[in-house]
Amino acid sequence: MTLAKAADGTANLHIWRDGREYLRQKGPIFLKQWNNLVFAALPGPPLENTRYLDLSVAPIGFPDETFDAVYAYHVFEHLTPAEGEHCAHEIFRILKMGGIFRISVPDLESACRDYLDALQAAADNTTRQNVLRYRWAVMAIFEQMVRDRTGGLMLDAIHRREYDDAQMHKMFGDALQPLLNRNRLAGAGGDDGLRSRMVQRWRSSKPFVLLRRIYRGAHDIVGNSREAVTHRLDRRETKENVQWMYDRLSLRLLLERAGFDDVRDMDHGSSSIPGWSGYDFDRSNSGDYPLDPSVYVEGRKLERLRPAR
Amino acid sequence: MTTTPRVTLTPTGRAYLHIWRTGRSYAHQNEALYRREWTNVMFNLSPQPPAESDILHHDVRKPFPFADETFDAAYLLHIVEHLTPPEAESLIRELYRVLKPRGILRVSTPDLEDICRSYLRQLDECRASRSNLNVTRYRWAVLELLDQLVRERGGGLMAQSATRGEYDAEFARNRFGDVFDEFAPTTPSTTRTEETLLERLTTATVSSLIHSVRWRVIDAIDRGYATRLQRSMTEPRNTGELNKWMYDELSLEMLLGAGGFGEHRRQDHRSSMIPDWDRYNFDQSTRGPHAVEPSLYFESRRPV
Repeated sequence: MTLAKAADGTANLHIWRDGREYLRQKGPIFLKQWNNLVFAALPGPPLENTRYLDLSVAPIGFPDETFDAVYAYHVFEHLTPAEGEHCAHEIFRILKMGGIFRISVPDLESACRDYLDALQAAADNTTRQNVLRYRWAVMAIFEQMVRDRTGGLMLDAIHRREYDDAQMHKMFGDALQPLLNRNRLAGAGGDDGLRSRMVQRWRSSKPFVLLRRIYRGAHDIVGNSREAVTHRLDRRETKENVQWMYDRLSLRLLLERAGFDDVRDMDHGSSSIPGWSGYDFDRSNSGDYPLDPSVYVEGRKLERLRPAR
Repeated sequence: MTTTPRVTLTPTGRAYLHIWRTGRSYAHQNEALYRREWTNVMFNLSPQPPAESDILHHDVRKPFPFADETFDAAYLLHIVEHLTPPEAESLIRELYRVLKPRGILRVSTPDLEDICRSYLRQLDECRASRSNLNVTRYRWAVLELLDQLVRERGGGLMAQSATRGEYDAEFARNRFGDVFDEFAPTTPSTTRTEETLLERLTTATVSSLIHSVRWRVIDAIDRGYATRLQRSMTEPRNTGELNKWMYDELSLEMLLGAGGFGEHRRQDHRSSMIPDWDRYNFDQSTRGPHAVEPSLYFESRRPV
């Protein structure tokens, strides 16, 4: 694989897993200018400058000192702590001297603080809104660790419209917007009394049910074969399940153990990676807020030899 | 074939149901009384449960083999966290069925709220001073929150860290009570004493002999079958060791409320609405006033 170079001539590696909204907003930049490793159990659709790799078992596989920067976007929480240690060491190895490693994961600390606030609010005043917020705050801590099917209880709650828009935006930024928009559009139709009644009648009519069944059958066979396969696999195998959670401190400790120096806390807009403002992967295209709220930490490779552990 | 197991009565003529999973330190401390005076159900997914006539090994995700309104009280000891929320809801409804009107349901489970507060406290202390002791405590606070949700081997990273000596005994004892002995490398309970041939013969029953012969035959036909089975059955996902959810006071109240229970009351490890609780005192260590395993204790009553 020949390396993609950014406009300024640097070679950068972008490791990510999933996220349609992220791909939609930032894909045009990272698919063109960065080299991409997608953490997946199975290969996905062909994308420019992209390899699919199961990081939990396969080596990263680039020569030493290949990249000027590496960004691991929401990948480490899907690795076990031992796999994460190994992966951080590998990233250290493939970085050039002076190279930057940026890592983002969901923030365990803010998840816990938000949970305690939401618990207090729901215990003090048990309104429907407070209870919904409390439920989502609990799910934010561990639901992705325990779910036994894709989407888990979070998706169930979205389908039942049991969520609070403001909290969803704060917790997930744009990441869940495609799902929530679908609800919003469906909800807009429901306001129109006569129209929605007609739609309801049409949807329960025999021709519609038959057509839908044919369409879904064909869709499963033709269009969705990859998802049809992964649905049958263990959630842990498809890498959707979260295997560990980090905060600023544990990320810092992780990077230091891997040999990095100059470890710094960043936010969704800041980075030491040269030319970052041109990439700006973590800021929403719709405004100055995080696309997928996270904890962001960076370290620099200053010494070739990594310290003894 | 399912037979209705015998319901044991307490000396005061009450029927109490005790549902638990494992816990060596727990079993050792309280063995005698609850085995004699309570009806015991062990949540067990193993295909070859030990043949103990006084303990019913049962997958609590399935209905209990007890008649309606059998019990005056039931104690779910560290069970709900090992079930998915829908499984827990159906278990609570099932307990409603087997409890008499005004019967009491006691639940103990790790306290998500307390665990989060402990984690944030250790994080802050570590930020203030990154000493080795503080880092160790912080790591254990994270382990307490996450490890049992994801571990792939029995004992998980907790047991691994304990074996390596990477723990602070004071912190661990505060957080885990006597249960920490199950992790600590010096614990005597992990070294199993070999039974002599005479002891084995005298304690053998017909069913246990058949059991053992059957396993020998299976193992002779398919070498390694027992080993493979053993391995798959010691994976936390299959043994039920994995936590599938976590609760706090509010979510427990909502869970029990949804199952029809009322009169909710938070308890501590020594208090209970269950009559004669002092006699059993399951949750207090036999070594002192502390809890066997610090938890959230919660009780509700089935309405009339």
